Amino acid sequence: MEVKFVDLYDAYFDDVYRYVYVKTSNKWDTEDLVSDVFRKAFEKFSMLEGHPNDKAWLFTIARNTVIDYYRKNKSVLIGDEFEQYLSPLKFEDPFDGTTEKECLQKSLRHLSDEDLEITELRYFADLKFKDMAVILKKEEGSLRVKTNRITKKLGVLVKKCLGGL
Amino acid sequence: MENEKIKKTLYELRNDIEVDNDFKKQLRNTFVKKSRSRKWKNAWIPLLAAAVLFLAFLLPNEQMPNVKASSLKIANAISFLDIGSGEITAYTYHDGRLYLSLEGKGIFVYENELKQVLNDVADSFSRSSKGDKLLFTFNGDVFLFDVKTMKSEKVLDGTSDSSYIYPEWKDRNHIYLTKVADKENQIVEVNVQTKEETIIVSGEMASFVEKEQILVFERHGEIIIYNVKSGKETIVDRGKNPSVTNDGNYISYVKERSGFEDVWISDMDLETKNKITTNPPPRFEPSGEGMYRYQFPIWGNDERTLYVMKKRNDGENGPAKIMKIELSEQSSTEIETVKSYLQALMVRDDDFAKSLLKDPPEFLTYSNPKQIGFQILEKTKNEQSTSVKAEVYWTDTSLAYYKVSTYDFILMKENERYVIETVKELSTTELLANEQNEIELVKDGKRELLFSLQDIPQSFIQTENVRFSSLLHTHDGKNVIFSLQGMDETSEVTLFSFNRETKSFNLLATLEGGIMYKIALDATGRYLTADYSTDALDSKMIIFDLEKGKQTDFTNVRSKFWKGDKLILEEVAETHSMYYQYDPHTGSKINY
Repeated sequence: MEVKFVDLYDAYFDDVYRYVYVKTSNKWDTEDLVSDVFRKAFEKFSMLEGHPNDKAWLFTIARNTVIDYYRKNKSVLIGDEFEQYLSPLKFEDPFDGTTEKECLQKSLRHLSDEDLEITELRYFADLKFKDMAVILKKEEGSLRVKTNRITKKLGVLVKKCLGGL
Repeated sequence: MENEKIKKTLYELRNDIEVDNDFKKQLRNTFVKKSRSRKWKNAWIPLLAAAVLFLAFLLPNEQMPNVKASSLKIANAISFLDIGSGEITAYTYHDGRLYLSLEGKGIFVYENELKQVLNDVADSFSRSSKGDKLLFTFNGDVFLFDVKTMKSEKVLDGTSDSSYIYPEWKDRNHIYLTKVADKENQIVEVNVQTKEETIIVSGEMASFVEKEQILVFERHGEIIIYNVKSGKETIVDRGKNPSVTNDGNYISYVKERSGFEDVWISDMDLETKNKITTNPPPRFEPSGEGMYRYQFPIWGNDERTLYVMKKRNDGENGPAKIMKIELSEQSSTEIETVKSYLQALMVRDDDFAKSLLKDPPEFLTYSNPKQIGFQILEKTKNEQSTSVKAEVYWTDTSLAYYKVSTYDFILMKENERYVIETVKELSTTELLANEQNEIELVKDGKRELLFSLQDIPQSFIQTENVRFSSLLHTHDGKNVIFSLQGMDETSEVTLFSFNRETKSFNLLATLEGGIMYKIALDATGRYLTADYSTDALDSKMIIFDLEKGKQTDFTNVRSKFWKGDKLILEEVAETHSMYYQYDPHTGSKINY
């Protein structure tokens, strides 16, 4: 059991960390939440046996932990729409990168909650469509189409952003 | 922008988030160690048990087994001391007693009562003692305080350039202090004999762990462990007000997350951390901050008790309270969890009550109606959950209103402890006075008229100018105990019982010059408390023995709630109020 769990940890730590960071926008909360995610995963590790997809299993825990965190800390906002209160994407340190990158970062804030979640799982958590389908309980095919549309939407938003400069 | 370029740039954004590899390594180690220790434990259980037994004889009673901070669960938490007037400027715990400094008043010790022991005021105390000697600071000077003789002596003068705070013993001759400076506070070591001072490191509020030769302190909102010999620093966490246990195994501190402060504990080896309060959102306007602010979580003599000062952050700016939090490696049972939850509601420790709920609602406690007692009825184990049924008694201050609600608490095990998943009200019985001055019993919506003001024999009533006030019915439902509030200039309260079978009235007590506040019955139904205030607004309480017809009077006391057949009462003094547990059978009280 020890070897297996540490294998899972080594394989996906960076993805979990980045996914949580993009949600919380700060290092401290990220570390607390990432610790929670892996502790829960460790405790429930025996349940992974027979699960077809270990990364999807781990990210279901990660996603629920982030949702729980916001639910507990902003209990005024308990409800089905809590995801819209997840903090908008922002980073502690400004990027050194190009203007296009900055524009893309800004554009992410204009996505709907569902689109943002799909983008974060796909690009920041580096998940495959089949993993995302398990986590979001959606069809793999529709997620592919949706991601393609989101990418196009982001392209338009970036163009607007660059044009406005 | 092309689709491919967008994708590429999104991955670049991802890679811009730098993974903290130190944290990654540190967290990883905890899982490697956990697995190993599990195997080791299994193989050596008999030997381990023998060793524990052996150590139990060798070690002093207070020594606790060293378990990880994350394995410690909250066994109980109660705010037992309210400081109503004046600020608590500092407090410390030594040898079973809490020492507090109250602004402009002096230093007090809390042990069965709050007794002033010094006229001096402290702005900080030492965390630990050397023998019977504590240290404290006031206005930049450092004092020695002998708790045996209750005398103080100045040992170090602060000047305008060197003002000292947060003293900490290093050994009999040396102390650590925080030297307050304009730019940055420094932790210094001072030889008490020669007054020689050495700068150690930037920071404040140091705790010293002798066996490891380390200092734990705060700097720029971070808790830091500093090795005195090597100078190596390790960051524990973001936070303030660190304090270590006497055995040096745990650090307590206050940490803010998204505007909500909470008390946390960490292992000294940083393997695990544990949040031990659940700060709820404020009662009124959401301000982005929690309902409470916490300060100075300090440890009792063992490694299982914490004392923390908390203040309301919202509109109800009440006095500062000292809360005692008891930790245990054992989980509370289902019944203990429900009892703790109801107790927390009754003393309005919303933070503790919330920690016992799986999905806490926004508001838990209200001023009125309020709970005044409870009784556990039964426990049923289901396949995945446990049901605990309990009766909760409610009243409305100074009004003729009483309610008994039966609740079904469903508990689940989460992270090795029980949490209340749902609370369902199964039935209610209300007792109230209607506008026609009649007493009605309303059971699950059905009304029954019991008696009216006119039914009470005139010989019992001194004046016509009366109204019904606090009331209740006995647990068997056979009797109603009620009060009549005199409305004349010199007010008077009369307590009666009404037998529902014989329709007869019985005069229990007359409380002269009183304004009725509430009445409550213990779990056995034998003892009744009546809280009232005099015209001069002094808090008075009686305990009435319904079996023997005997009355015991208390002054400057309020009942809080009946915990079974023991009364939790609050003694109210000019400067503060304190909770005690009172046993009406023996007349004895114990403090928290």
